[in-house]
Amino acid sequence: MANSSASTTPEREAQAQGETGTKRQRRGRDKPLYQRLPSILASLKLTIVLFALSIFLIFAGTLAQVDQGIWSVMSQYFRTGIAWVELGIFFPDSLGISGTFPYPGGYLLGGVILVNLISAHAVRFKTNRKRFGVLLIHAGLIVMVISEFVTGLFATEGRMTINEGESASYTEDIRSVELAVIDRSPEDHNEVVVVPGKKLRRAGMIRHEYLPFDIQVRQFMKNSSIHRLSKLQGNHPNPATAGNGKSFIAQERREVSGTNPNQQVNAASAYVTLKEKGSGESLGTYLTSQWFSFNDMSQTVTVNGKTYELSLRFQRTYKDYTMHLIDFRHDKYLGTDKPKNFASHLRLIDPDENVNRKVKIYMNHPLRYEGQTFYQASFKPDNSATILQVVRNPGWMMPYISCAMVSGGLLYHFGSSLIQFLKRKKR
Amino acid sequence: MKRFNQIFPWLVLFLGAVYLVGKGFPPGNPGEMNIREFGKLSIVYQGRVKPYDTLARNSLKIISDRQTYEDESGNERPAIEWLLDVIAFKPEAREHKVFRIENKQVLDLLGLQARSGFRYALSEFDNQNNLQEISKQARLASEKDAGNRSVFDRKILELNRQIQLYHRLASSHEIFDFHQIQNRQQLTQLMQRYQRLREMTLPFAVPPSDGSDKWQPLMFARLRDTVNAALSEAPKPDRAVRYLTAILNAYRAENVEQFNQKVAEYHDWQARNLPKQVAKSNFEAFFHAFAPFYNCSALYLIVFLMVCFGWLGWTKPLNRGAFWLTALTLVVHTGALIARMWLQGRPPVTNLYSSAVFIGWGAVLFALVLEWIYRNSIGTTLASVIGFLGLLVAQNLSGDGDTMEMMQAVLDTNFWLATHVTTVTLGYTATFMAGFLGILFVLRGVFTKSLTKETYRVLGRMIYGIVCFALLLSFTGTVLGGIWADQSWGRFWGWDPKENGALIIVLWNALILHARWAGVARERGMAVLSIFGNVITAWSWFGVNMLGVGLHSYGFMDSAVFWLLLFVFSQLVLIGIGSLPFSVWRSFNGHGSAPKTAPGKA
Repeated sequence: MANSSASTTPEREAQAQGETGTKRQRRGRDKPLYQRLPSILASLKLTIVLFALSIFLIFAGTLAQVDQGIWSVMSQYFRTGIAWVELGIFFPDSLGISGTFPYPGGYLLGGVILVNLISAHAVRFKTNRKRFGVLLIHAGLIVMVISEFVTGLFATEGRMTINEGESASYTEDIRSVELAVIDRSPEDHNEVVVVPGKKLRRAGMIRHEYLPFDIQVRQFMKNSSIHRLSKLQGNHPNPATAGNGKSFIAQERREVSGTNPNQQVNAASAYVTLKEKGSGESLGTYLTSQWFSFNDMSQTVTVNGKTYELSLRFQRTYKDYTMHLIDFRHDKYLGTDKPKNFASHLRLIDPDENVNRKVKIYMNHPLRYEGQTFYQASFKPDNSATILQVVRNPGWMMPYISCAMVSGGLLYHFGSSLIQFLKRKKR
Repeated sequence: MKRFNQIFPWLVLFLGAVYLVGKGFPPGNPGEMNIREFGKLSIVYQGRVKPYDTLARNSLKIISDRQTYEDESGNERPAIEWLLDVIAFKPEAREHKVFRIENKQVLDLLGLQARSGFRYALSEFDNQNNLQEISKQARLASEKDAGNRSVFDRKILELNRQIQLYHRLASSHEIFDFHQIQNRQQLTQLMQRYQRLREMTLPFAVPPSDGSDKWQPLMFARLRDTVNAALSEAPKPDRAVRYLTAILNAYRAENVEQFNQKVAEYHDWQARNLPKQVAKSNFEAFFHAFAPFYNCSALYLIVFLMVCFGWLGWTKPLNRGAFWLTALTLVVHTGALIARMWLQGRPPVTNLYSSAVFIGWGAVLFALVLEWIYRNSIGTTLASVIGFLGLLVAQNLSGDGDTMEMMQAVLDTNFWLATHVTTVTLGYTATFMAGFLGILFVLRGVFTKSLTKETYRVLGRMIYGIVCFALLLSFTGTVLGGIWADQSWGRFWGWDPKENGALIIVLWNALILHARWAGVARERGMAVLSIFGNVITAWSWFGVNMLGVGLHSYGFMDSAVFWLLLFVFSQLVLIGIGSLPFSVWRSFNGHGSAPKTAPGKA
């Protein structure tokens, strides 16, 4: 809403910039690239190109979530220098189009936008009162872009599932799995050897000095379903020769997609063969699956008289504090199954910090403690357990600061143009 | 004549007001059953107190995709009559042709012939064989992932839901004569049936007698009273139960006097015992009978026609009349929004339906401000077009039943609904407005001679101003959403589809402004870029929601997807037209080239 003033400010200025831009180019055409580089990096035209490239990247990253989980999309499109865009996402599945092409990823575009913005101010803009709004907007945007970098690189989040009347002192990362081999023989503690999911995915031989056997990964399934063999019809080859795998079979399933309204998580399974150290003799092929952990079905292997438990589970991070769930409440709207609200009444226990107190966490009312924030995320269907989201993000304040800066800047800039415009109109 | 020119706008305003009053207070029919009065009675369904009239409209909308039905002689009847026939177990209920079945495979499965209107009576297809087949097919379909269901699967599930809704409505109001029960077996059967019903979502007709919020379905309350009476420890037979029983019996016996008397008595009883709820229910029944949004869209259409005639001649009186009629319509539109807010106890935008209503409202408001400043009928044109389209889209989004549904727990915060959702929706509004101004610019320039040098500049200024607003609103709204997300689940930004959609709008508006400042785009360039803003906003508003059900396997012919694609296509065509060289624009044919401000390269 700013044009009679705009014909004095943005438009005239744009003309001026446009002219000087072309002049500079004409003059600079014979100059070597490194001398022209600052003006190219600072140019508005580059800004426009970067906006257009970002829009397409975001669009592709949205479409990709029809088939893929939000976290794979994030690392494939946004939190990466080069994104490999899949062609298939732009077409119906039935056409069967596949293949990828490289495209500037979120980190690259974000980085170049930062350079563009900063050099524009360094090369072109003068600081005066008229420019104050623009300066504030752009400074705020710099903060915002940096905050997304900080979040991408340093933020951690996990889930804490606590049964009513019980306690928990670890969080689970629902994006990654681990294979735990647990020795419960020591009296006061458990010995646990953990194989990260990344290694499982590579499907090779895994060795560890504490273990009396090596683990060879036969097949790893990111998402799977398991079926009781006796209930399946037809002939199914079963890779497993020992443990739960003798009565269950795992089948690979498509990864849970980001646009799935039910927001389930992947349930991984893996077929592993255990080989005795030294002799290399097979102890059998086991089916390990998160489905077993979900249903509290353990399986063990005994070597040299010692029993080890095998468990494929979400990656755990142990904490210094303990959360004890006193009560979980879940109200529904009258005559429906629609949740009205849910709330966890907990006791937070941290001996190191001398903390032992009751806390309440409910929808839209998180708890902030020790640089971490606890949110009411979900619950088990029978209301027997609460699921908390635990987030540590060192950059969590930055969006707030950035938001205030940009909004203030926009109001100042457009507001002053509007006032000028209305003044002119009156005259 | 001059005098008439002056009076004309006021005449238009007066006629508009008369039209609205006529719609608000239709004449009654003495000597007939006072069904409208019955429609005002309160009931609880899907978690909120509402009048029977709303239950009837929403249920019929789900079953029939309409809020009225045709009786045997082809007369249009209100939904509440159909509902009364159903819950009073009148034999006619099964004969009303209300079930909308249009899929050929489903029709073949049930042995039905396709007919115009595709509406069928329950009695035409509810034999034992068919019912078994429907529930079998529905079970097979429901076992598939939502994304893999075929059109037939979705249609059979839809039909199954419709039949179940019918039976739930009827069963919940069943007046069972418990004295009929002769032996243990009959009792067991009854108990089993009631147990199954208890697990379903039923309308709760009987208000609590003890001041709690525990409403009950009529048939459960009757069972409770009967058991209490048999054990002779009854506190008091429930008055509401007795009234409802009498009303339904009188209706079935077609006893007009008894029906009207009991409805009036029960209405008074509810008003005494549930004053707050009854006030809302009465108002809601009036609200739906008045159909404010329907009337507004009719008026916006008239405004549009007036503006169009204004281009041909007699311009000034028609434009002034159009302006004032738009203002009147905006008053009704605003009133209806406020009414919804009061009924729901929520900010204006709570779901897709209300966002469409709100976008229409916001656009009309902005556009009237534009008209007030520029007085060139552009604002009024814009108001009528977006106002009408917004309400048309809303109308087509109300198919799921209740448009004032209860909110999911995570959304249950009026603060963020009022700030984030409202601002983002206003951002959509402003982006659409810029886009429609762009369309006006292109159409007038290419196909008419009306894009004078002056209009060319003015439209350019309007687009520039609106895009500034759009950027401000969409950015602020998006960031507020991020803050809400950070407050609710610890993630300021999660790259999820809805967030991405909002971010794309912000980036696009920023791109338009920077293109303007860089001199890459001037008036025409901004107009064309703004039209693409329509595509982007439609994508964020609707397209993103469609991804959730699996666009790829969704069958591209589903109606919402179809309309979205058609809209996108039309915008692309307009962009193509707008990009034609100035030499073929009719407005510039005479002088060969565009106004001087237009850069050749734009």
